[in-house]
Parts: sequence; C-alpha cells; structure tokens
Amino acid sequence: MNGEEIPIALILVLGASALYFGFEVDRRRKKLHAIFDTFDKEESRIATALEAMVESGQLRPFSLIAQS
Amino acid sequence: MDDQAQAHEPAESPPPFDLDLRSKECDRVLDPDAQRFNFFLIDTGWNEPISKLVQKHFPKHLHHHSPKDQLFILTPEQSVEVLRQAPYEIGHDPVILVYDLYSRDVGKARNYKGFRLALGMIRHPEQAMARLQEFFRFLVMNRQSEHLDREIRRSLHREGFEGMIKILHESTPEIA
Repeated sequence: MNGEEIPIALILVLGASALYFGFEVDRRRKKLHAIFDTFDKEESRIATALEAMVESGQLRPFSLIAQS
Repeated sequence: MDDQAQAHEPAESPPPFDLDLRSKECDRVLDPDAQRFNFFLIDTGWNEPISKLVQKHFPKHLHHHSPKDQLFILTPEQSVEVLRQAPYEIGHDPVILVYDLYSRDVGKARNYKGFRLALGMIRHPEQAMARLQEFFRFLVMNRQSEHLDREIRRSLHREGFEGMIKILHESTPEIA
C-alpha cells in the first residue's frame, strides 16, 4: 500500500512543480514582452499624435551637435 | 521660398515638416547607410533614475550606432499628451518607440511598423543600462534585416529549455 502511495505522491509533486515552472516561465515571458515588443494598434494611435506634433512644429528632430 | 526670405528665417525656428511614420514597401536590399528608423523618446520623468540614465546615454549612443536615423525627444508635457492616446503605457516610460520605414511585406506596407522598449518598467538603473545595451546590439545586428518583426519575436520567445532558463534569469529582479 505504502509502496504504491509514494510513487503517486512523487508524481503529483513533480507534476505540480512542472505546472508551476510552466506558468512562471509564461508569466515572465509576458513581462519581457511588456518591456520589448513589436507594435500593436495602440502604438499606431500614438503615431498619429506624434506625426501631428512634428507637422505643427512642436516637435523637432534632436541634434546632438546643436546640444553641445 | 526665395534665398532672401530664407536668410531672414530665424535659425532656431526652422519650418515644420511632414513626417510619415508608416512603412513603405521595399523590394530591394536595404542600404546600410540609409535611414531606416524614426526614434521617439517619451519620458514624463516619473522614474527619475531611469529617466536620467536614458536622457544621458540614449541620444549619444544612437548618434554613434545609427547616425542616419532621426530621433525626437518629447518634453515631459508632450509625453503626457501622447500617453493620453495610450493610457496603458502610463508608468512604463521612459519608452523608446522605433518606427520602421520599410517593409518587405506588401500587405503590411503603409501600416505603422516597429517596436518599443519600455525602460520605465525596470527598477534598477544598472538593469536598464543592460537592456539599453542589448537594444543597441539588436539594432546594429538586425539593421538590414528584411523581417525585423520576426527577429524580435525570435529573440523574445526563447524556445527550449535553455530559453526558459534565460527568461527566468533575465526577468528575475529587474521588473517593477
């Protein structure tokens, strides 16, 4: 009886660990995506605002030479 | 505008110009010396240590690594105004937005293409600096890449066991 319970408990622990590991990797991958990723629709909305700022003259290209 | 009129134009206020951030179709090999990107630095200044680091190092390094590309640095007020369009990014700044001018994919041409680096999500300046260095490494290595979005996804997905370990290592202490 005990001999059968130990492997089952071991399998359960290992299974739970694998599940936790999988979830944790996925969670951290999502965080990395939040830091560095390709554009989605929201950045397209920002782009329109940025274009308008440049066209109105409020925003100009930065020049390192002009700053020094 | 004639030469005389140009001569009277104040030097510190050049005329505004049109800027189209949408990607254009490109069917030839990209010239390594031509402009490829438009960079925007959005920074309200709330994350002071990271903000100082980015303002100090980013323009200088961009000028060295990517001299043909244009950089626009928004004031804190302009940054607030822009973040109103994307409230989900509030608190993630300083954010560097990179608009890619070229697309090999005809279907995706005339869309806004590019990527972002949200350094305000990082707690420690040393970790932000490491990210910035990695960002420049990625830019220089993939500057002529025809499918930049694929390269980004490849670098992010980090497949396999080694990739998982890298994810655990990279994201552990740095993210707020």
